[in-house]
Amino acid sequence: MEIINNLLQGFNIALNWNNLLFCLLGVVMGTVTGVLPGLGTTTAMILLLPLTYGMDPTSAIIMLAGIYYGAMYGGSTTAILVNMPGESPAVVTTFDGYQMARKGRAGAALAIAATGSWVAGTVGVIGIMLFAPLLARAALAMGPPEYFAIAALGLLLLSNLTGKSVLKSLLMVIVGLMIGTVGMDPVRGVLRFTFGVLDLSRGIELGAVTIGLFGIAEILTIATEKYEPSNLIKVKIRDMYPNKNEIKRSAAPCARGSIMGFLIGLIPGPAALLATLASYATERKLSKHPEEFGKGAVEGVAGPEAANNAASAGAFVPLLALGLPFAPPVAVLLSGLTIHSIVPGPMLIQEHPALFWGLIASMYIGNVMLLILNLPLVPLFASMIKVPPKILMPIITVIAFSGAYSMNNSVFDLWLLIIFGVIGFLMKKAKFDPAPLIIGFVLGPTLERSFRQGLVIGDGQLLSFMTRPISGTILSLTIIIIFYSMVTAILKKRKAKLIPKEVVD
Amino acid sequence: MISPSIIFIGLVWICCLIYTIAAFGLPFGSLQEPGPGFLPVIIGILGIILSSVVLFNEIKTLSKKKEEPIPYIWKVIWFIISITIYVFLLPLLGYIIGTIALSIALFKIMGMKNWIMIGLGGAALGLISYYVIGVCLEVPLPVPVWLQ
Repeated sequence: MEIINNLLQGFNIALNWNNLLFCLLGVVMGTVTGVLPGLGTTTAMILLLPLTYGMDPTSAIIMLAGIYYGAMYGGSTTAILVNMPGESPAVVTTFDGYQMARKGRAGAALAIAATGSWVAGTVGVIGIMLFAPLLARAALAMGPPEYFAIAALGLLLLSNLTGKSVLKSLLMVIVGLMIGTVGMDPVRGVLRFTFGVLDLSRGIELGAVTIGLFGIAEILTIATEKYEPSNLIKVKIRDMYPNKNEIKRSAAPCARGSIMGFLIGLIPGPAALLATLASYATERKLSKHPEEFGKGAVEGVAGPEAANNAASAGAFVPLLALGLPFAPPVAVLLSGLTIHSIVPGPMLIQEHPALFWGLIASMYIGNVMLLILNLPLVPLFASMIKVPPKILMPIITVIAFSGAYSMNNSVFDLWLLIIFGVIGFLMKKAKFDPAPLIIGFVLGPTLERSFRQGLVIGDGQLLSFMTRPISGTILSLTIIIIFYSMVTAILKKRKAKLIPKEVVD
Repeated sequence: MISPSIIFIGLVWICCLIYTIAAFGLPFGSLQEPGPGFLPVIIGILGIILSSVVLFNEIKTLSKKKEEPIPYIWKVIWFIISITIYVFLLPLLGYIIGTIALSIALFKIMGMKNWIMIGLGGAALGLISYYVIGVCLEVPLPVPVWLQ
């Protein structure tokens, strides 16, 4: 009953004209971001972050959140029409979505993707509404040792689940932690690693790091690619309706994808991508027509699309309830909240109920807006793909530099942007994922503060982290994962060495 | 050709080393009262160890395969030079002139051929971005030195 009352209050806030406008702006920007290559969700959110300085905090977060889940819708459009995923989670949609389009069922594929995303988005929002307050209440019993344990486990899981090499991802986490220590020490206020540069005393700006690693690096990578005009499959509005059989076959995958996606969204790492892969594998196993997968199976579009939207909703739970972001776009939301002097965590729901319930309600509304926008406006969004990189990339570069400058009106941030852009380009060529670096950078201060405070509480006893039930359990899990990874890696190497010998024998 | 992965991991190794040396210069504190250098020393040492292992693995892997040169690398180099000059001259030229010049350079580097279109495109991008960001959104943008 309390939840319903709170939700109604939330709708009261979200249905205010100002908030509706910002929600619409956010979801449209998100869809455009999802469609266009080179921009990325995280970069788009960071670029719009300075514009929120003068806004009401609730409106600002509604808009930023709209970009995040809106991008999931946009990514599927290019995946289906051009066989090119606008966002990485949409990769799986290309397997069957593009094949459906080639068979003349592009409209149906888009409609199923949009509807599945709407269902999943709604399920995800219900999940946030139920889980976040529960987790926040449980988090009130947590202290610095527990926060340290959760952050450490989160970073370790991130290393294991991101990229092809655990060691490379772990190295990026360490680099992120290092970058996070530049500036003022969070406990004693001592300046660290500034090397006499005054601009570094306020630390390294998250925006410069994110736009550099994701935005500028992507632009430099596109510059090395040969441009080939995309073969865009045309869609007529009257073809936007799936037939009865397609609707019947997509219902259950939608439902399964929604629940699976939300639960996977709670864990650190590339949750949306993992959710789509898990959903695709599940639907293929459960389908009565597994031979159709890869050739235009409706289940191969419905399930993954639902999963990626639900996962993006699930990612909000650790941020809102614990104040810990486990994905780069969510880290930007954390920045947005901090800029408006709002500290996400267990007290957020109690201290800022209008923001929390207003955000929840706006996500319901945002999902409806996306469903209404995505179907008739698909040809418009899809035509953006036709803009060649020689026009698009300079525009995105100017936006990136202007956005980075506007954060602190500092030319120093532009130098950082160039440095991180070059680093990001080298990382791409060296097959390193930037996400662990960003999360290490964002979680680093929390990790350090919690660790040092935990040691003070435990009177310098490292074992005090293990004797507390919650932190002890989480740290034990962390240790088990470390040993499991090491043992698996050693066994894999031994097996690889044995196989050539067996073949020869 | 030196592999980008070796360059990158080598740079990371050097940065980890510099970081760790600088971290040892900070007050370490004790377990009862950890100082500002406590965690940096730990992560610095971990960074050196990890980057050494990754560098060793990468060198071992690369000796078994041929590294392909990066296509259109000259575009990347010119791109980086252009944005570096832009940032260097921005306080001197101001936002509008600087951004118009950058846009013209980037349109040319990315492959546009018609100089009239490049000029018009650069001017349009510079002026529109100034209007949207500087005027509509009221973000204070750099003003040329001679107008200050």
